[in-house]
Amino acid sequence: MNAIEIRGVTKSFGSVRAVDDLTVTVPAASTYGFIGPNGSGKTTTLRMILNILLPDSGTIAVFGQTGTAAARDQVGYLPEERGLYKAVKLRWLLRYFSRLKGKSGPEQDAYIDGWLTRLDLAAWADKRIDSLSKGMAQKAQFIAALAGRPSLLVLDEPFSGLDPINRDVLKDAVLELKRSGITIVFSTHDMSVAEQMCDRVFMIFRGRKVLDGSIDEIQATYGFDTVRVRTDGGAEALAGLSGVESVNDFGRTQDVRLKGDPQAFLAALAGRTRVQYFEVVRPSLHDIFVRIARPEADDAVA
Amino acid sequence: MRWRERLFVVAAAEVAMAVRGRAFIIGIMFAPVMMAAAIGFQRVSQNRIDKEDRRFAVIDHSGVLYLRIADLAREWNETIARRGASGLRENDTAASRILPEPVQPAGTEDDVKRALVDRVKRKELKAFIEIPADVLRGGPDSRVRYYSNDATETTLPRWVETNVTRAALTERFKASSLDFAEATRLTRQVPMSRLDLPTWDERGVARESAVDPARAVGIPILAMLLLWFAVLGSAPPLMQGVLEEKQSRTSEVMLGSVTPFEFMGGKLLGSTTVSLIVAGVYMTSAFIVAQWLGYVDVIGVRLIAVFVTYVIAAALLYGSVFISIGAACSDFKDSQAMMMPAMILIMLPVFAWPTVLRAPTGALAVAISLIPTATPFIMLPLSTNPPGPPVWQQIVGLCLTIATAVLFVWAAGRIFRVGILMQGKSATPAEMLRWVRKA
Repeated sequence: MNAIEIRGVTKSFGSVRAVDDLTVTVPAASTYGFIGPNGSGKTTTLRMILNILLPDSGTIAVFGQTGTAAARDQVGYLPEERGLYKAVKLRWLLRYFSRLKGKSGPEQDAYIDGWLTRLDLAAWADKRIDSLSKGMAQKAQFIAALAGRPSLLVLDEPFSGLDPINRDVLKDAVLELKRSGITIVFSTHDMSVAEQMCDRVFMIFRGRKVLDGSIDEIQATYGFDTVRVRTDGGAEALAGLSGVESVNDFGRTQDVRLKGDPQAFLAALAGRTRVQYFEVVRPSLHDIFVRIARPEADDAVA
Repeated sequence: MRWRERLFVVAAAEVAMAVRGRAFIIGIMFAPVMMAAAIGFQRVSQNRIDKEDRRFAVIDHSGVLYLRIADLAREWNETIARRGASGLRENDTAASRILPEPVQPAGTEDDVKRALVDRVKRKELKAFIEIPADVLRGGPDSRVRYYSNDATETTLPRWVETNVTRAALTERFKASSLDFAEATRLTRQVPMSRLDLPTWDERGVARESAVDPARAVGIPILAMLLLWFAVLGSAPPLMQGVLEEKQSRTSEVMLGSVTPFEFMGGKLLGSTTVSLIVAGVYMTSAFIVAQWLGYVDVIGVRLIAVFVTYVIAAALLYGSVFISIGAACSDFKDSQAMMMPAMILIMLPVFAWPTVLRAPTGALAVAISLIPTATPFIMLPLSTNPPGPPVWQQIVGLCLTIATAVLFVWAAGRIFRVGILMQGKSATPAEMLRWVRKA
């Protein structure tokens, strides 16, 4: 069974078409990345999946159920903009979100306590939300999304603003959920997260789907047109070389998008500076994202 | 999980969040404490004995009244001295000595007045009066002129008006050879006692009781204020709560679990429950006070039922207005501006109350009582005085209020659905109207 089936969905706000004839299928138990620049229609799509917004046309089915909020109890949602009631205690709040999903009782309390312990928040369970640090509040929000024991978890930028330690804690929790068979939808700008954690990625740009598939499939469509180099001369040594379409400078290394033979490029580069490292690679998801979403592409789509 | 269960979960959480903590206790106590403090202050200030002497000058063009006025002042001052000696507490006017002094003509009339003005400014005098020469003829244009720089003073002007009249009447009767005491007896007004309808007990003995101003006016006003506080205690905070949820993005989290309708409906149900809790606390307090003061018979089952009905209707009606404002606004400044018309709507019945009280069965009062936003605040106090408004008026008023509450809740649902997700810009009233029509 598919967790989400979006078929020909269109949604407009006034004269702005936020989502245009979108079709995407998210298989159950998969980890799916929703990527796209700001204002591309990601959040609108997520809100339609969650039944917060209704599509103008097309259908959205969540676990086979369409058009109603029937699947709502099976979905957990962590929005990008975090928000929790500040004047209440953490445990009370998590029980409240549980009850909203129809879950209560001693077993549910034990489930909540388990997650509080797992994310190092047990000592804060009876403290008010406004006494939690930003990182703690973010973890609390994550538990709130899990409170209804969802089969589908929608995470909008789950790691943003977290320090490396809490990021790892949350990443491990997500992987554990994935192993337990929960379908996870990531909405993110962090391409490394999408690349490392997602089975499949879908990219939306100006309301339209521009990518959909596994990372391998997506990279394969772009071929081996990129070389990663490290030279004594750095990025300056690449200036004016024949066949160079664009350079993504990381300081110590540079990813160079080529048009032409990589060997000829290597020979030309070696003639300018000492080459320490040279590898023909497939373009990263970051590069593909930038290629699609750069301003010129924006104009092309328009 | 069914929508009704979710609605009740949201409502229960709203109630729990509203009533927990000191803020609710302080809020619930604030209104009655302030009311009691205001009444207490009024009573204390009424009982305060004003002992400041009232010295004033008299320009007597009649040439005969001053001596009478001086006599009357002397009598007055002796009475005060006697009462003071026997330890009686009097109202403020009774404890001030009245000290008139004649003005001897010196120079022109202007010079005399200038000198008196200086003395008033130096606070040697409270005022000076000018009695016209024709005062004894009793012409329609003959009037005493009272000059002072204290517009709020009431004790001395009141004394002067009463006693100059007494002095003039005495002199007029004397001039016409009539017996003043006899004339006073013959022209004395016939007093009237206002009574409730008499009742007869089982032995056929008639019982009469005087109209009690506390029952006639005090209790209705109190009932209206209690309803007012119960609604004000929940409706405006609802707007603030929705706005905070929007600003903190909690609303987005909530909408991941409940539909906008369940969210708004739960909040509205919760705030109505809070109103009922507040009303329950006030009613219980009112019952205790009424028992203590001997008015417990006023609080019957019928009145409680009417009170609860109107609390629910008013809380839903005004709650839906305030929740719409909260959903449509993006910051507190805008919400305050949009709240003003709603507050005027809620204040109007209070302003209209004196008109209704003067003629409760008049066409204007009936019309006001049938305006849905005013009905709870007008019909409830009218119901405290048996037999209350006619049944048809109560039924029509209640039906219109319920219909309007349903309409407002429906419109609020449409505004809420769009507004709750809107960030950065507050909606205009025209936009809100468009959402209602098109959502």
